[in-house]
Amino acid sequence: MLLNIARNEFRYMLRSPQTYVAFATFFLLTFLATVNDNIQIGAGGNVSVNSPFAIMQTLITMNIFAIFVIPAYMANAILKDHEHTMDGIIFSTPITKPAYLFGRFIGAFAAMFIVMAATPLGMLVGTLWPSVDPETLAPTNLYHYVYSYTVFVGSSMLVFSTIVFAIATMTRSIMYTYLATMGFLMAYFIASRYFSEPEFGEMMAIMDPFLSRGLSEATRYWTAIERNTLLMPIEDIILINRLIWGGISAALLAASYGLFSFRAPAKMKSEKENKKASEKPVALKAPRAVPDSSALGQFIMRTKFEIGAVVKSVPFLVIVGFTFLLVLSALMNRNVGFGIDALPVTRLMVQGIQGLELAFLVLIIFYSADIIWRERKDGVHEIIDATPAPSLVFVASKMIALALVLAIVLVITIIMGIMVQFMDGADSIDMSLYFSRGFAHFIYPFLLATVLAVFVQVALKNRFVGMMVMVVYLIATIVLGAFGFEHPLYFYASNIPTPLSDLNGSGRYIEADWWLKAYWSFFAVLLVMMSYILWNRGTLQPLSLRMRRLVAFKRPVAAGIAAVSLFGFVSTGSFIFYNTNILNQYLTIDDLEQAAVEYEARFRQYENLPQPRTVAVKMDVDIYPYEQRVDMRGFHILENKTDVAIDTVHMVFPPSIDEVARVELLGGAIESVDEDYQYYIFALETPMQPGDKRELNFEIKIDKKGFAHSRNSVTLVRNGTFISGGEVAPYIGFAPKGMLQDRNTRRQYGLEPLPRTPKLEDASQYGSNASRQDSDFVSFETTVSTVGSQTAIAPGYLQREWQENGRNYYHYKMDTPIRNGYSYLSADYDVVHEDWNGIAIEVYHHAPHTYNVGRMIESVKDSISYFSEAFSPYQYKQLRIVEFPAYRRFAQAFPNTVPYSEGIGFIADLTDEEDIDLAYYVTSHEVAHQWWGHQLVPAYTQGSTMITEALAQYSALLVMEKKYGKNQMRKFLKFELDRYLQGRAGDPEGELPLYKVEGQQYIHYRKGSVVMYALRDYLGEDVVNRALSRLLEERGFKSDPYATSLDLLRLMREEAPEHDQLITDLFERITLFDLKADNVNVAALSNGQYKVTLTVDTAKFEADSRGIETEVTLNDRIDIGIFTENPADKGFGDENVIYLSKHAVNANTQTIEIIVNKMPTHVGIDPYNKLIDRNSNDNIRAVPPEVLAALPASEGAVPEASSD
Amino acid sequence: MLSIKNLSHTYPNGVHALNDINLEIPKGMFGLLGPNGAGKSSLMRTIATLQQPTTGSITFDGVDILNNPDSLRRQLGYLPQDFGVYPRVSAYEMLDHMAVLKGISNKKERKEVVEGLLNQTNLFTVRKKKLSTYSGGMRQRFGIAQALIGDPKLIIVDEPTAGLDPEERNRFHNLLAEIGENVVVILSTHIVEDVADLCPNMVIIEGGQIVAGGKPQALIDAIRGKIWRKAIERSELEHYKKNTAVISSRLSAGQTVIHVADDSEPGDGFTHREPDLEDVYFATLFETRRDTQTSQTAAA
Repeated sequence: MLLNIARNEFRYMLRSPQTYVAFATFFLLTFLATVNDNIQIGAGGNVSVNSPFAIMQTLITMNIFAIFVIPAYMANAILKDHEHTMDGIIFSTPITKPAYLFGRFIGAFAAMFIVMAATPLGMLVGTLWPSVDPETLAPTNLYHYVYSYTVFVGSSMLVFSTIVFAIATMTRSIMYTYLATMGFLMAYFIASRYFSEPEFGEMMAIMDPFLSRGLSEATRYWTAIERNTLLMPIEDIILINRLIWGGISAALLAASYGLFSFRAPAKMKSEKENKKASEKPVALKAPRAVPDSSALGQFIMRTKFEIGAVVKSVPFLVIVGFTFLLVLSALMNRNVGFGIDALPVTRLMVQGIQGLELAFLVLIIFYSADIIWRERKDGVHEIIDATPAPSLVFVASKMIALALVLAIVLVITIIMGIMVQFMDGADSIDMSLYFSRGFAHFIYPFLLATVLAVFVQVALKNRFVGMMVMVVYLIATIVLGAFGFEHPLYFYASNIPTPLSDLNGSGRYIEADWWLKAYWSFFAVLLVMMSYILWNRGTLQPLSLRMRRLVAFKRPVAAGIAAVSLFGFVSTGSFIFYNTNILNQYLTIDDLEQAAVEYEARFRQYENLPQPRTVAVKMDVDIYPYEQRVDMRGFHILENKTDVAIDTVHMVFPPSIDEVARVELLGGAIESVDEDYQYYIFALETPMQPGDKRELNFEIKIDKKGFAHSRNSVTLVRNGTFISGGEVAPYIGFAPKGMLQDRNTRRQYGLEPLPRTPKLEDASQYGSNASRQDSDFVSFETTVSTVGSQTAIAPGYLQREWQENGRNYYHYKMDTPIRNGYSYLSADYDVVHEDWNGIAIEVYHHAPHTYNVGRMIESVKDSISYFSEAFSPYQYKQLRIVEFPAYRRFAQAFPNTVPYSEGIGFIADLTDEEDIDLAYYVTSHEVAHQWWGHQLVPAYTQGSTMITEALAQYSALLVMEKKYGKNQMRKFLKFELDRYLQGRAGDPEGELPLYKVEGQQYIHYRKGSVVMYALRDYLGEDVVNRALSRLLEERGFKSDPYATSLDLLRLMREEAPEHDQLITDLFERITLFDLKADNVNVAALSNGQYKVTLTVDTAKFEADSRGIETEVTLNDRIDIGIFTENPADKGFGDENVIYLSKHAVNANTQTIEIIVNKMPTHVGIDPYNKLIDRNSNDNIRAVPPEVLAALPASEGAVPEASSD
Repeated sequence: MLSIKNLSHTYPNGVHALNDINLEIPKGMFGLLGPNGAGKSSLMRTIATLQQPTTGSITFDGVDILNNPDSLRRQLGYLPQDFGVYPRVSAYEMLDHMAVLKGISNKKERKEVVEGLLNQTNLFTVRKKKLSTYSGGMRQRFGIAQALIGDPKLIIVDEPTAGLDPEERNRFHNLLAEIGENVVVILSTHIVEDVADLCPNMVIIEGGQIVAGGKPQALIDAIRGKIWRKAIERSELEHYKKNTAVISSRLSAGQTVIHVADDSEPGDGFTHREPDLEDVYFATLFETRRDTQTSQTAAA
């Protein structure tokens, strides 16, 4: 019986319409995600598109969305008899309850399980698709699909099926079931968002019913090779997770069984008592009322009615409620790194509000259908359509109602933003920004989308087709860009990116964007007119028939409006085209790649030609921030530093230059010019002999006109210009940066991959520096002018400052040679100036951004004072920090000048004492670059960024530790360790040891911090600093040769020969430890002391570039710590440390015994995570409570024992 | 008042719903009688401006309504055969809503109209109930109430009495008769009694065509003396259908009674029958169908 019912149910469900919809949807989702290179779930880098990890990740992620499919099967299975009022017939048959209930459950689940196999199938077919780059694929392994789908997806699906089944049984309503499901999903997303920090990882992994967090936690530090070969085993947290949810499922299934009854209780219809039944009508018989016509009154009433109908509907409340929570959490979480939030400036609130986007699209698509088809759906259309109200009333009221609904939601969100600002203590609330960017500019594209959606629904005969058309339109706008269709003129409601900054506001971007909005608005007017003319009154007629009504355009008013709109559409379109295609070049990503390929084809032949180098730089720069114009005149001196004579000089001007007005090389004539790439070749009358110098004079212009369709310059803006030297001066010889760099893109064009950097062993590069190979140290002098309201800054000391023609002029000159890297900044700045020990410290900042300026100045002082003492004297008499717009988020050190993005330190909220002081840290890091990068310049080889970045991290860490103590460092390093371990998996070319780092950020910053901190811990601060100061002495300000990481390691070994093995492990190998505190026991001794016995589990590995690990012998000195608090807890301080010392640990070490004076609560091996350990959470173990309870009174009773 | 000329309509799927209809409808109640699927509702919807005919013209009071639908809508009251209601809306709210759409913008005036109509249709006490909870009769009364808003000059009621109990139907007839004195009321129905009770003028429509028309009494007079009646056994029905023109058969106290159309007395136990409108209706339908069949056979 049960099997029969199950079989019938299975067949019924498999043939029902949701089967086709669900199958098609999920098949296409994974298929498209696999085929498109721009969407990658789980894959990327060295991880294959069809690696077991990518399969698990894709299937588990998609399964979250499958929650919408489950009620269609599981709730339907139990409710369909009720819905179709078949329950009377079915329930009176001699069927048994378990057979009915479980038969239905099994049948429906089986059908759904088969249908949802579309997800792995779509992915599988996607990987077989010819357009997928075979390099990103591993051999197909069906087992990976089957295992992931059945074990992970299947079990989660079963859990949800029981939940849905139980809810459906209890509520007997498909709608409540859907609502409960939505509610569940909402809670899930909110929980995932709130507990996204690593410290909640384990808890969330256990709780996450979809296993999404479980997967990310269990595989957090998996290397590429592991991701490519391993399936997640069902053990530890994953096992606990499945057991918990399995239990919940079983309980719910039992509950459903208990609650289900064939005899449903009769519902009592509740109707409110009509208290005013006795009331009399004002007129017993309707008077003759002659209709007048008040279209406005009708319009207002209809609009109110439609709004009411939308906002009172359940899906609306669910969507909006859900969205409010998401946006609120976005408004409250303004993470800028290291767990720090930014201050709630209005700009960030306005950006947070953009989280409404998805909800708005869903509302538009769903409710345009609902609102347009309302009369037909409710069956009142014939009555309503026979009234004399004009069609325009209906069409307009429906459109406006939808728009107003969006506006209402948006206004509420803005109020939420303002409330968050009040709560989080914002010092100013910029209402005009809320209005312009939060409201008007944000809602506008959605209004256009509303018009389109209404038009589509009016034009088409079926609401579902209309909704699908809108979905296709949306997907097209997202996807088509990837196929080379980038022009905004052909994407309805398209936009030009409008980044926001406090310094520069919306800049000129928004003006360009409003042109586009005007363009589409004219088009939208035509759509509105068509919607009105095609509006179907009465019987539904095919579009072909309704098209005849378009003759209405011939009527004078309609024709007038249409003509004006058409004229507006064409003329704004022409204006936009003039800007994007004539004033600017319309270049798609593909065009740019093609250009880079062509550049390489034409000029790479000159790559190794001997060329002179720049030795002196003099620039005259006039910045016109409001005209997008920069005029430059350069006077450079080139010197032949090779040992051969040079008879041709090549130079290429950067693509940011619009016009090369003049180039003159003394004693040289232009032999050829390639206008496409501004590539000049000079023939010299008399060759440059080794040591010869030549003057190079040039005059160039950046002269941007109008606006481009995208990639508008973020460097030359009205307030906050930040242009670097590389954008304004030629590169001597072939500039390798112009070539395509990404190895996958190169492969698409049939090009061999480029090495990221030359090998460390390649001594031929030791005479070139890492940042520019066409110059060494140069003398630097510049004048720069800008508009009268702004200050212009460039490296060097201010020699003279004057006004001329209402413009500000500055003459800067550097007294010592610098690396050939400089920048120009211009904005309306406030300056905080402080003279300290003969050094001028200045912070140029946007007037309201005063929050962290004090910390920055303090950091500059602490850093200069420490570095001068420990490494070498500071080479300049000035240090300037200069703020630039948040379009780019970094800080960069130039000689005596540090451009610093408003997006990071300036608005970080550092009021919490426990938090990492981001402004202080970043400043210290940049100050350290005055030594590491400017005093000591690395050679153009592997390991160069270890010298600049890892040493800058080390220096900043020391300064931070002096100020904030060791425990802050533990916190900081835990972030660094986590990001290093995560970064390993995503590296497209594989990991390298630190001393051979090829500019990989996760290595030179993240691992650099951890390694350098450990090094100091083992060698001692003095020893490390002595090695560093010797390095500066040996190689500082030297260009022949430049410093390499080998120099650093050599000096380290000289200073600490006993740590040879450690230096090898830290720098020359990828070493990983697996340290675990297994067990701890504490026994009280008779003298009031405590004997702590720690059992440990230890191992040490060496990994290769792909992440394959081999165990190596462990024989190291490792920290053992004993505490009265968990070092991970808030409020942990030095007073909580009872014991911290290094113990020799080798592979045989199993227990460590230590006698201490205080009663411990936590014991750990490498408790501060100084060594790289993939599981850094098991290093500390709490003393078990039963052990603590058995101990005699705590140290409070024996105060003399605490004198440690 | 209402003049329909050469009206034809073909649906996109090829069905000829209306076939060259010509009609002059004067003031007063006008009955449109026909079986289900005859094209009544298509005609009603076309007159009510809810459907564009393929060809033909309709004028009301001299105004071409196909090209000026709004001028008719201003004078129109329409009760469709089948209509739904907005969920969560009460009768009062809905009538008020309709009154605004019909152009009664004065608030006080609207209140009087709405409450007056609720009273006239006996819905005043339940005016605050949700329409979705109304019974069939209440809903039909609500339908007529909304059709009467704004003093229409043309009222179209499509199958208004379907599903009403006899008492409701009576009340409904009275209401219609009262209104029908000064305006055009087109009553479409398949229930002969409705027309017989109410309409001074009528047509019979079948297969999209008008197959008979005039004053009911004149139509009855035309067949007087040509209708014959006989009570037979059920098993004999097939025999009679083959040999005589059986226009209708029904059960009466356990026996089958047939009516036969014949210009002369058929004999064989048939007795004379004093015809009523129902006989007219069935006789007309019988003839029409026979003609169609013959022509089809001929065509084949």
